[in-house]
Parts: sequence; structure tokens; C-alpha cells
Amino acid sequence: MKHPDNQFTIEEVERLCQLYQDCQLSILEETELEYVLMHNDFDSPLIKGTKELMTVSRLLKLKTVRPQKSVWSWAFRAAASVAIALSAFTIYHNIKFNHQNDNCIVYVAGEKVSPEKAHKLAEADVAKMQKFRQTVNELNAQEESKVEKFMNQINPSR
Amino acid sequence: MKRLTIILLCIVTAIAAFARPPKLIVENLFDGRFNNNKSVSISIYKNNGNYYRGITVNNNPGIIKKIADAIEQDKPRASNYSEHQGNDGQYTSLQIINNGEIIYIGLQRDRHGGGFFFIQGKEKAFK
Repeated sequence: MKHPDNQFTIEEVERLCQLYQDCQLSILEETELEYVLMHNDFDSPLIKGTKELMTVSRLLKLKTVRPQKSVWSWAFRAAASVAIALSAFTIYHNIKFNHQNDNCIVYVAGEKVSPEKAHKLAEADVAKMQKFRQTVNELNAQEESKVEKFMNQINPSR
Repeated sequence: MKRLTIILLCIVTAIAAFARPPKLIVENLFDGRFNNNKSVSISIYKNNGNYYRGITVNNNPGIIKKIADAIEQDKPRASNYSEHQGNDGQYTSLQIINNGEIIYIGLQRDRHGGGFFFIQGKEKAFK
């Protein structure tokens, strides 16, 4: 092939275009032909077709080849899927837990009481529980005080 | 960035997976077995994120024994345990930590074979 800067006749260019379309040119020659076509105003159906083919070829080359996914990438994808599934299960479980129980259920002497009465009885029970905890705290404090007093008697210098 | 997001998602999920219900033996006492017992009153109450369950027993030493036995089985898990003889009966108190919250368990036994038992804590402690 002539140097691209040398003058080409239209016949020569058409012959090269035909070779291009028949995939008979090397990559370097294809590049040179592309250069020639870009810098000259040759026009014929064959040249026009070759130019279109070159455009398509260029576009295909522009598409980046995505790197192959590594094992880690697939592992992360799998972990993410498991994580999403577990999250969904946890949310479902929590919703189920919250809906499983009413806010207030009370049985008195084997009978379920009405919701209005149940709230009052439950609140009374909660108050009883608070009194229990207060009493236990007081008893604990008394015990600690006794222990401290005992220790002071054994070892007055403390 | 994508990797970091996935790792964070995994960590969050792992934490959620570790949040487990306490599965206390004393919780089984609220499985409905005493609901129709004439000597028992039961309260289950959720309010402002607090979860309370209580049983009041009138003159039924058998049920009191069952409750005491259940407490005894949960005792090794307690971070705090105390037993006192007060003027109005015997007090047994346990504190169990689950999901970073305290579960309070108490039993007050009277002299007539009756008593008052409860489990109380933040809802989060039971999830």
C-alpha cells in the first residue's frame, strides 16, 4: 500500500475499499485507508459503503470490554443477597411479634375481662410491680447497710 | 463504595441476626395454661415500649411452686439475684440482660400459698 500522504486515484481507493470489505487488509492498512478516506473527497457507492462500515467498526471498538467478575465480586453479591433476605425476615418477624399480642390482655379467676376493665387492672398490676421493686431495693439497701455496719465493727479503722 | 455498602449491609444484618428473644423458662408460664384457672389472675400489658406480664395467685401452692421452679431454672442467667424475707412475705428478684436491656423478674410469696409474679422490661429485651 502506498503511503497515505501520496495521491491515490479513485480506482486505487475503490480497490482498497473492496479489499477492506473482503477483510483482506491488515489492521495497519485498514487504519491507513481510513486516514485516506478522511482526508480525500472520493465518492462512490463502494467508498460510501466502506465509510459506513468503518463507522460501525469504530463504534464497536469504542464499547469497553467489561472486566470479568472476580470470585470476590460474586461472593459479595451472594452476601448482599443473603443480607437482604435476612433483613426481610427480621422485619417480617418483628411485625409478626408486634401484631401477635394485643396491648392489654387480662384474665381474672379464669375469665377474660373486657378491654376497658383490662387496662385498669393491668395498670394496677404494674403499680404493684413497681411497689415490689421499690421494696426489694429498700431491702437490698438495708442488707448492705447491715453488712457495712458489721464490717465496721470487725475492722473499725475502715 | 459498592463494596463498602455491601459490607455495612452485612454488618447491620449480622447485628439484627444476633438480636434474639431471651427464651426464658418463666415466659412459658404465660403460654395459656393458667388462663382458665380460678385461683389465678393474669395480666399482659404493653405500653410505651414497656412489656409487662404478671400472675397473681390466690391460695394455690402448686402454682407458686411451678413459678418458683421456673425462676430457679432461669437463675443462672441472672446478672443480679436477691431473696428477702419481708414483713408481708418472701421476695425473690432477678435481673437478666438481653439485647442490652434489663428484664426484671419478681415473685412475692405470701403465707397463704398465694403470691404475685411478674416479668417486665423494654420490648426490645424480648425480641
